[in-house]
Amino acid sequence: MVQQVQTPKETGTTLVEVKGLKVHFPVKGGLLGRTVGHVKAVDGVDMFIRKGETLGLVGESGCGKSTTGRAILQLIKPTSGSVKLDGTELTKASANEIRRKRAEMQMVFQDPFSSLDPRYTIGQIISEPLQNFGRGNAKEVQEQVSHLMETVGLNPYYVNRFAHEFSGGQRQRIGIARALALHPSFVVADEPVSALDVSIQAQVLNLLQDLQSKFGLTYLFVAHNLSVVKHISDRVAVMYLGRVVELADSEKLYETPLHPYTQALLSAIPVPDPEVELRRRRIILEGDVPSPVNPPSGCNFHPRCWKAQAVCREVIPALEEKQPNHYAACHFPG
Amino acid sequence: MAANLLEVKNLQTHFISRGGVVKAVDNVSFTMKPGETLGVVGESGSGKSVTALSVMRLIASPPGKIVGGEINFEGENILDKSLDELTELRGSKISMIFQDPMTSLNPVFTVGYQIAETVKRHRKDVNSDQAWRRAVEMLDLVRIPDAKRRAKSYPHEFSGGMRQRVMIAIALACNPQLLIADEPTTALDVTIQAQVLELMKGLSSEFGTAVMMITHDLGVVAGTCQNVNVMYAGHIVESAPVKQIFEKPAHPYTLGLLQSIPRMDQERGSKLTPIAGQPPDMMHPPKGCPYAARCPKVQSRCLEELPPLISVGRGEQVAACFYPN
Repeated sequence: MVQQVQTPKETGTTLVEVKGLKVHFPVKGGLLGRTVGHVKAVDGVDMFIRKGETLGLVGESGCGKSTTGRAILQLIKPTSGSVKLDGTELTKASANEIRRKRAEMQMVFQDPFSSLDPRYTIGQIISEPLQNFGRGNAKEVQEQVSHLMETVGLNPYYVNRFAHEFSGGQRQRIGIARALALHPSFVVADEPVSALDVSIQAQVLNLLQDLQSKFGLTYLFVAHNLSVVKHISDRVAVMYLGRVVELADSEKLYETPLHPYTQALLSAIPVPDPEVELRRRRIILEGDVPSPVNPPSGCNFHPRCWKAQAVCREVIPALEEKQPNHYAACHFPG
Repeated sequence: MAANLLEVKNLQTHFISRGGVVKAVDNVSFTMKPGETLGVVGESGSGKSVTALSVMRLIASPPGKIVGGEINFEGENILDKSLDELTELRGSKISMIFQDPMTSLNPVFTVGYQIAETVKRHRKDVNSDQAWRRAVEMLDLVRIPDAKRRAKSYPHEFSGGMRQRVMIAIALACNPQLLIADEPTTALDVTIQAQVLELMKGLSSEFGTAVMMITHDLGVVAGTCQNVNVMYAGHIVESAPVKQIFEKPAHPYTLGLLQSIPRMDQERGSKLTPIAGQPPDMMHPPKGCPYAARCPKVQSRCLEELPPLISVGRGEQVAACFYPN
């Protein structure tokens, strides 16, 4: 049976702590396939996630948000830096220790069409983690699977069907049931609703919220849709070109963004209200995101920033607490 | 009042497969005036792209077929035109921008060549030099920096946002009367989306081009369109000026859509109201209203009869519902 833990949001207790996380991918080139450079996908990320909260991680494609999520779960080996889950350092742990820790940290993937094995039945998919960790005999596993299916709003009657017989929203529910099978405390959800139609998105978002309050889950919610992130997150971290540029309480970040990139990003999002759209002032950024192989010096946003000064080209701004619980990495915030 | 630029009457586009017939577009009628910006919104499979492709006569056949209706453009029925006449029309009077800027440009030709090619194809009096100059001018217009040099670049040397701007340059090179944009910004990041939408808005008002904006993003519609058609399961379920759609949606589906999207400008904490269930199986559409199975206001009549698109008594707003809001 799935145990029910009613944990209130314990503000203050940190579950996940990330310091100086870097993930660099080598770029091979030339006749001999030598390493000619590195894609600095994640280049010094600091953040912490409190027990029971949802931290939203937003940014545009290529900013390193998904890589950060995977590196925290050790699905990609970080190049350097530290990741602590409940006090345990994960980057130095052995493969065996990581394997055991996996029961506590799980992932929900973006694409409900490719993240489920087409040759497995739903029952096999959801029971796989239970069997891997030896959670009960065949009958007990079966009971747990039907209970999990009910928990995520699927009829246990369909346990012997295959993934292709389900719609996108239902498949995402299967993915969530699989992630919850081992009662994890921490779940990384990587763009869990972006492949779904809007009317189905809301169903899955509500489910994620229900499950969080029911099981006291802690989420890292990775997404590019800032409206969705605002809706579901207690706090939000904004990434640009491999670094966190701003981190604050959801309301604060959206009302008074301090980093110019966050300001531009928020102003670019269309709001479904013609009256509001008419009154809004857009900050249109010039140009594109630079290549992470050869990022700009200093603050890597400076070539597109309208506030950039000489110091921005030279010194990398640190993520500092500019206002209580409001962190920004900018020389001229506000 | 100006004459209609585009009149679509009872359009029926069906896809015939071994499993049966999918009525992707079923009895759709609407009009567009010169210079108007019309948003077409709906979820995947609602028939919005098929409507646009039908207007361009770009439905792959088989399996697709326009089985009924009329598409009158400047008073002439596009469905009666020969292939030669269509080629003449496409790219000069009606142009289209597609969703994916990565695959809609030819990788082996320079972008300048691809724009010039369109110009030469439709203007017999233009020589190669003039066409190239026009290409550079268009690139400049869509704000590609250093257009003269960049015209000699290949598509892979451009980013996604820049490629979409090249597509816009090609589409507008011959000053078309109608531009059909099928999810033009869906593949782009938000800051780049803002650049492209701003550009499209500016250019369409500058040249008086009518724009049919096909999108699933209600935010994009609110910011760029004058009128909106909401599509569901192959039907237009509501059509109205943009302000009314958002202020007083008449069809329960429109209301459901608006309530199920989180909004950035609203306080957080409240729960979303999702639409229950899923869209109908288009192979076996229900009798009666296609939305009946998910509708909170459903009555027995909705299960039997297909509601026609009728006025809800608020100006130009029409909805296909027996019990509108």
